[in-house]
Amino acid sequence: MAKFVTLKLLRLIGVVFAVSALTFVMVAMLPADIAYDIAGQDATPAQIEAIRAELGLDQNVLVRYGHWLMSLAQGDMGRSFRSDEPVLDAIWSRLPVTIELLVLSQVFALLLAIPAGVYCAYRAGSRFDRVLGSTGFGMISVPTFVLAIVLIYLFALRLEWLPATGYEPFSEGVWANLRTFVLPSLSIALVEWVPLMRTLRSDMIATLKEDFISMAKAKGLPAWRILTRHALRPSSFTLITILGLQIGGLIGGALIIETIFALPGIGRLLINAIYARDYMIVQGCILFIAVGYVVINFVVDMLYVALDPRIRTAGAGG
Amino acid sequence: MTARQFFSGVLGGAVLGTFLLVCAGANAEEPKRGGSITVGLETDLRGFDPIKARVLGNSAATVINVIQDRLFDVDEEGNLVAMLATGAEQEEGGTSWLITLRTDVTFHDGTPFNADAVVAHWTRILSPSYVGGIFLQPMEGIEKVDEFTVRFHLDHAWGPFAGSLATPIGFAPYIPSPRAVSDDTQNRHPVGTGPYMFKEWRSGDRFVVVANPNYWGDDGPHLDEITFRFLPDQQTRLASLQSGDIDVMWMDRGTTIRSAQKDDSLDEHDTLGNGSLIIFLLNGSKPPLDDLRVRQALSHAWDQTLAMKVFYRNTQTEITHPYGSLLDCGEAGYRAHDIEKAKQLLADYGQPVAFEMIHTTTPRGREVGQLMQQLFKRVGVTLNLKPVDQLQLRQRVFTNNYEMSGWRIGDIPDQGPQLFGLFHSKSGYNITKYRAAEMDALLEQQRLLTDAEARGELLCRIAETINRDAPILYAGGRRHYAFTRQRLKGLPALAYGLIRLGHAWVTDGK
Amino acid sequence: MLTVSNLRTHFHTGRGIVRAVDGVSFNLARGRTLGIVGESGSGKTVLVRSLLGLLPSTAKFGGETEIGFEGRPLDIRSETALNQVRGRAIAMVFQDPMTSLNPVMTVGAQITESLRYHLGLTGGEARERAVALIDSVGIPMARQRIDQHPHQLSGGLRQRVAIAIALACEPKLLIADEPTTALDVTIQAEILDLLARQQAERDMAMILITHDLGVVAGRADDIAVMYAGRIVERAPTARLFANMRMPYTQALMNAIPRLEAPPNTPLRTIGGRPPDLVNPPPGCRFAPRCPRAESRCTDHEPPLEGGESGHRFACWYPVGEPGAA
Repeated sequence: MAKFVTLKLLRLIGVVFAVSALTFVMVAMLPADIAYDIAGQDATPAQIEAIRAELGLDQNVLVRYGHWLMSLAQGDMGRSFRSDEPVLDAIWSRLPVTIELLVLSQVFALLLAIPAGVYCAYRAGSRFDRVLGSTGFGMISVPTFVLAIVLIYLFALRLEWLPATGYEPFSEGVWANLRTFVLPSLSIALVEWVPLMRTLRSDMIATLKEDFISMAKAKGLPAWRILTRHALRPSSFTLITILGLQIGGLIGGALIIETIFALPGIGRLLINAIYARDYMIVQGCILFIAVGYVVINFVVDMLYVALDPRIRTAGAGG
Repeated sequence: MTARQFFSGVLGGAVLGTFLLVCAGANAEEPKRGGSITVGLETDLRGFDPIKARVLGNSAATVINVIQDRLFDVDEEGNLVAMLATGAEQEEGGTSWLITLRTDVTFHDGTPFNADAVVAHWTRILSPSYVGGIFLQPMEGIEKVDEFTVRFHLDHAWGPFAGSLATPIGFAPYIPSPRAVSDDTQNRHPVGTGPYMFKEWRSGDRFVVVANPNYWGDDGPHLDEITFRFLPDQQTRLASLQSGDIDVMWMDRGTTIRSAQKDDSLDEHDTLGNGSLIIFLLNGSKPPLDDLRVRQALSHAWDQTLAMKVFYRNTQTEITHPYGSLLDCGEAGYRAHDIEKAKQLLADYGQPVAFEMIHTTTPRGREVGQLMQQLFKRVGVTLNLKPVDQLQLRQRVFTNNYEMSGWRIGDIPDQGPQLFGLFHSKSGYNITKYRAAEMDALLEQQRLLTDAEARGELLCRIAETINRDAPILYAGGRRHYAFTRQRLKGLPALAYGLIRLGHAWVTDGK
Repeated sequence: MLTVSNLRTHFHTGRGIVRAVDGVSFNLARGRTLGIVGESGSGKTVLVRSLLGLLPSTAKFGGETEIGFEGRPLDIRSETALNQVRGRAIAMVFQDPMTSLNPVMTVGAQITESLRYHLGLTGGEARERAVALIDSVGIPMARQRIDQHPHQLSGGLRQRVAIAIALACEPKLLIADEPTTALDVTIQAEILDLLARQQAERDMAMILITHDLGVVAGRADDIAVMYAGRIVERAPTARLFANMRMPYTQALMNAIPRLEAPPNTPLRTIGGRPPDLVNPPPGCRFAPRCPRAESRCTDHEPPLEGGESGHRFACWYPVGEPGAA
């Protein structure tokens, strides 16, 4: 186990190194730099040059990367060129939003996908299965932002149950906080439950053909109990993989939803920083996202172990 | 050609004799005290230290406007109104100004407001480290005369001087607490003398201010708290307004404005400003645009009427000069859409015309590019479109690496400095590379004139010269729109596109 | 206690109707063991799975099919009816213990599950009962084993666990579907003996399915030989071995590898393949592979008719009688 964790940590350092170097170079290769953002439209070329010199943008990329790495090694992620906010603060303040959004959206997605996937597998080929299959296909082809707008129209404007936009932290109360996350999470979940449901359905169909399911049936257990106790767990490995990928994608990729619902998450921070060439923030976000991916990977691996005792023993033996 | 209410307060005489009270949108009702509102802003803020944040955007201006006061305000007619100053007096033929200050004002952090605060701030503003100072060039410096008097020194008599102290756009006019600045906390925790005080700034999410119990003015603060929320998507911002999550928002898209107008539960506020939300720069240093006939032909090929419909659903109106509500220059020799004239001029030129336009990758940028391409095609001009991102567009414009590009003319109290920057051959901001001795002379003259009527005439001649030599094309003027929930009252006109909440109150207040 | 009358199990497939079980009838009395013998594909597994409703939804039963269990009709088309008997009165042991146990559940959980569900035992009681069961099927260190997962057990132990699961609720009828086929030869006998011992102790009826006549030889009271979805010969065990009438039964007998045969003796297999169950051959279904077949065999189907002492067989020219030629 310790060896496993060490290996993961080493890999994390490698990933962070590679990813941060790559982003640094890529941001540097983008046309124009932060000086054009800082100076605005009413500036002279001389002023822009002055800003560039002040920020050290006139230095070589490698030199700048070196500086950044050196500061990072001392635990300093730098400050935003644009707002002067410490990068760590900027990310830290957005972290709860991103985490809550990705957790809630995947919880919603699973709440939809698991019962639907299980039932469709149990009644594969039935009318319900076919209707749900094409519904899913339809939903996955609807762009997220369209879904978001439809949800806002229904729940915020027509029914007036939930706010259209905005974010309330936990400190304002659990319900106040959850209210602001329902629509954004649903907008993501209504698209992302589909791959989860499909994977679960097909894995479950395979599982239901297994002997141990016949065995469970021969024990006289009712169908729901067989599906949930016997078939679900062995059918959920691919589901977990997809879930991990989706969560990884949401760490920095919930940009559209964060923008539409005005949620201050990592995605919006990152994209605005890219537009502004605020490479301190970009580097910070990328660093964080890379770590997030590795952590999620680790959690997924751990989940496999928890779900499948065969891996556990194999790992202990080897 | 008459100058209409053009800084009559300042330019009509050497001394500001009368101060008009700002009227809060003709409200017969008595403001109620208490309650709170939420304001939907488009973007997060960069900060409030002029040197660190450098540029004060529209969103930040809405916020700074309730926290920090200026020496003067300008009303809808362009008249100066006293705020932290009590008077302004021209000296030595206008090369210096004596400003007297209020004696009863304290910053939110307890620092007294006095000449030192004003001098400290303006010294920073006029230092080379402040980038927003390019239109303030004639100002040389500031000195303390006594505890409550300061003197500004100018290169030469300068018409727009008083306006520069009063404009609600830009960092320069807003006086911060000198202690907050020297402690280096001003950027993320602004301190001023205004009706509301900083409470909380959650980056990317919200900015909250609370009533200043010791405010020096009489009309405000009426609200307990104002929350500014950053809602980047205009469509959902409107949905939030309609659902009552926010009370006021500013908007600039034709479609959004039109749908907000259909909603009976919202009040519309619109104000005609000056400048232009979109202009097109024709780079006079790049062939074939260096030929006057080509630029003239393009201005006849351009169809502003059509553009208003396509870009704005007619929520903006055509212009013939950049002065908007400030000055009426009539047609000013504007080159109207005329395909025949365009063809004639191109025939004169005698060579095929093809060049490139850069535009942003946004939907609006693409829309603009495509319309331009179609219009030019009708007169046989080939326009190649090159989509670039916002910063790349700025870079290419500032480094003279473009032929044609979209740009804008800001809405400010006095267009003189901006036009000087854009069109004077010696200006560092002359991004169109337009050079004409006649224009230089006009621009220099208007700087020195302090007589409103005479200066107005000069400005109109500048507008005519722009239309004659066509270094730019106009795509509509600048009408500002904001929509509010009906509970929100006390909003003055949206001068310079700014939602000013200093006097705002709500009907459900106590 | 079990009466099967005219059981027809047909699968509706894209190719047509597969008549996997096509009119099978038999009775089984309390405490008795019936061995069902046949090649793979003969329908023996489908037969017992039909009784427990363990077939895919493409399976359909014939209209005249009637099942009686303990004097009452059993509706094998109804999950509800089946759940009244499954796991309680009728239990089953599957062929391959590598696949019939749930890989992600502990042995204990798989045993206690039925105890808790059917008998309403609490966690602690169920666990004690499970330990006793594991012990009774001859697994050492029952208390440790109960928390292990199937993959930690050998094949033989797993099958013992499967038997313990089947026995958990004291069934009246145990169906063992090739319970030793997947196991190492050396432990096959142990498992069969275990089954026999448990059957005797609990006075259960048992259906023992195998492709190997040798397996049932000493352990079944009666033997039914199936071919192509039908019973082709049925007799008390001793009688059958003494006097095989069906050529197919004899062929199965000859296919048993004999330990006393000299090394490298080629196995005797039955020539040809089992018939296509979508379009079975007319007449006797074994006729195409039968060395004794005559034209009558391909024209007319022989009925399952009795010789003496409950010995029945379906053959026009049974072994031991002169052929038509």
